[in-house]
Amino acid sequence: MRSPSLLLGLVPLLGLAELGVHQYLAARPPDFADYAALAPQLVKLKQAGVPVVVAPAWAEPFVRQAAGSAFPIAELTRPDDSAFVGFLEVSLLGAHAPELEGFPLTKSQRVGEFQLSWRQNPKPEPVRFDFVSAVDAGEVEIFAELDGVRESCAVTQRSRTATGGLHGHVAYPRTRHECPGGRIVAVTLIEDQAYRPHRCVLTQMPAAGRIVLRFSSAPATARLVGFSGFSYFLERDEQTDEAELSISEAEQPLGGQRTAGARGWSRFELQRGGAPGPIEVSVRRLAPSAGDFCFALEAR
Amino acid sequence: MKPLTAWLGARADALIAAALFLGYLTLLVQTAGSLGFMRDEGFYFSAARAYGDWFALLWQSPTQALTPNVVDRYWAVNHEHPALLKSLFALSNRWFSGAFAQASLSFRFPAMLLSSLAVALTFVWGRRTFGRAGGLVAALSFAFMPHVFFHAHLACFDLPVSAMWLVTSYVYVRSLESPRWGWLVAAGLAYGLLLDTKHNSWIFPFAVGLHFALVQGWPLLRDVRGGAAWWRRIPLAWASMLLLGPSLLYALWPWLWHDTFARLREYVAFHTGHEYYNMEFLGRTYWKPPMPRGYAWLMTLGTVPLVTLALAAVGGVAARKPSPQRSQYAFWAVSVAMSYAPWLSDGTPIFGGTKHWMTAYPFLCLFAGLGFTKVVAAGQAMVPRLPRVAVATVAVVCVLVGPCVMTLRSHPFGLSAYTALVGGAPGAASLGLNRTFWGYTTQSLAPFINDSAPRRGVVYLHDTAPQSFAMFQEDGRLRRDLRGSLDIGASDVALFHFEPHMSRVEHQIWVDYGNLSPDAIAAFDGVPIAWAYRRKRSAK
Repeated sequence: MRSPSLLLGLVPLLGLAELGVHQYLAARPPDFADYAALAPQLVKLKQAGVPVVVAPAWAEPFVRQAAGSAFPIAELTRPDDSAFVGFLEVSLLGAHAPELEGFPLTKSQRVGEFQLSWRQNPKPEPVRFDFVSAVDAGEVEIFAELDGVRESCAVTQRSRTATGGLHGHVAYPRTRHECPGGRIVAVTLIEDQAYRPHRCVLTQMPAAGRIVLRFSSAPATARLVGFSGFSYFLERDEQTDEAELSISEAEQPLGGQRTAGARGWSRFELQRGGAPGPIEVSVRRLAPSAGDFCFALEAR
Repeated sequence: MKPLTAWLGARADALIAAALFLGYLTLLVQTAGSLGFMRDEGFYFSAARAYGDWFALLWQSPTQALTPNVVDRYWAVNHEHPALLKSLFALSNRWFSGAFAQASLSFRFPAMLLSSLAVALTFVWGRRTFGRAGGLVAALSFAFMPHVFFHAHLACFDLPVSAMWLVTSYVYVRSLESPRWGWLVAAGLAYGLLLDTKHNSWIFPFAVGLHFALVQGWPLLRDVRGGAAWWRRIPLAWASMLLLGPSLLYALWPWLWHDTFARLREYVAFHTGHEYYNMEFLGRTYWKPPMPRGYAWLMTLGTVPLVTLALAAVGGVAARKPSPQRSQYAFWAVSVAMSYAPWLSDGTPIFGGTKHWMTAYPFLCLFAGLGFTKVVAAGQAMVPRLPRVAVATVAVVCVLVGPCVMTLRSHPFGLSAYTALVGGAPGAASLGLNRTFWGYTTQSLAPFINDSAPRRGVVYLHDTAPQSFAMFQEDGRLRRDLRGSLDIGASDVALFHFEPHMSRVEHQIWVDYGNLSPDAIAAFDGVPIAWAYRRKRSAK
């Protein structure tokens, strides 16, 4: 029997084994041609309302590059996964999206280097009315309210899109509502606590008073599901409440949500049930230092 | 022939050291053209130009150059870091810029020289301690760590400070073995240069102190108890380092010539209270304490070739046995320990990735060289019929081919390089380890930018420093008619260097460009590192 110290003689083989494994791992991921070959199939198989999820998530830019039309912005920047009936998972290297773990697999198909899997949401909560899209489509009246007096915030496309870069503000899009005092309301993107994007209504809060968004075309539903937050990168150290969002329907309060930057993108729910009517969303500042508040709201 | 053979034989080690030095330097020079410019390099280019102007003034009008307000005007630039390397960048740029095809190389050259010196000195120290083959393995294991190779190219301080720590250690250990005036003075001078290189130098006295405690602690205690002359155990090099070190720092850093103590306090305060930048680790972005205590260890495991670590472990165990070299093994061990020590605290920033503890790596590789000698001995015992030289040659190839291939393949994406232990670059991306920082991967998108940006177009730089962008243009890597900008709205092409906390930049590009699909992606081993968007004409 050899002495264990003789086994040291095998250490150099570790170098060869490491090199072999390293080369294997480096060559394993798909290349640009593989993504290009996937694109037409993916676009063909993609159904509206069934978002594409790439696993592992780091490969998503490749799929977006090859098959951009498979990623409508409203799906890519969705508030959360609960509203959708299902997802189309594009999997490579045997990875699976952790967020789809509880969603049963209904169909799977191999396309080149990729596994396409349809995953069904066991309890979808379909959206009957998306308030963010309503703002985008101009189906909203927006006011700045001070001491009970309302001034209209007119929609404009005069300005150029403004961006703050890494340390600056989120994108202020060209299409925006301009309120007295230069504050704006517009549809933009903010990042959550995992730095993922969410499409939402940017509401710059006045120092005093509030911003009111009035929606007259929301259908009657059982409840409202909302999400609110600030740019997490900019406000992640803010522990105290910075903004308050209140919702009323037919002038009857439904409830509200207070938001602090450190809590990131937060979900809340409000029951409706009363007399249907115009829905008003009011946003007011709680902290003088609060930045750009953003919310999403859905009637489900 | 015989005299030549004898001459070569007598100088074989010096020739090998010279070959390592020149070989590594040539490799760095040859590969630098494809490596983009880091944010920090941009700042150091600017500082070096300012210092270079001062050197020119000093040459032309010394009296004027030495007046306090003139000194301050030139040396205030980037005064949060000591001056030695930036002075060398400046002088190299002034003297050698015509010798290189690209201006950037003249700035980078001094750091490349020091990196190559570190490789050669690792061999010299290893050869002196455990033999030629082990020394060679130590030197090349150091040279061919992917992150070392990456940093060795840069006009920055991280490999230079590793080199200077190694030089100072070598001289100090030699001064302990033979306390001649030459070694004693050299120890002081080396420490002065180390102090003027980077603030890692502040830790060096702790390494010296700990080594002394380990090696001389008990004898000294015995002397004290026995009333013997214990002070004779204090190394004379300490006095040299204490006197010459700070003096040299002062002499070579003109910023300290006025308001010396206030400026030293400011220098210390800057680094002890350094702001926390963002860094991703295991899927989480850290931007404030507590920082993860496992960061340095896991990043070392994930970026240093496993075979090097295995050899170092073997060497570390072997070094514990009594031997005449035990004192220097102890110095190697405390250098490794002290280089990692700041990351025992969860208050130490982690934003620089592996570069902050690279002072440990030459010593880790010296242990690897020692381990290699044990491995060869064991290998020979397994196959006694083979000559020792054959076993050693095969073993050298086996332990170095992996690191060499992995390192050369990683270029120019050195910061994205991970070992098989964490699944390579794809595995690291899945684990949520940092893919890149410093905005240097603009180089990999340069062909796209040059092809697709309109004439006199504007490029949104994202994480690339404007000074670095200017160097891309000065070198001819990017078109000179382009303008770099930090305003997405003004841009025709927008760059995005991936880090999770920077995703908001990409979201802003989406909103402004009205496009979610990157037009070009720079990838390493199938992992996207940086990408770019081109504004469609109607969107501006």
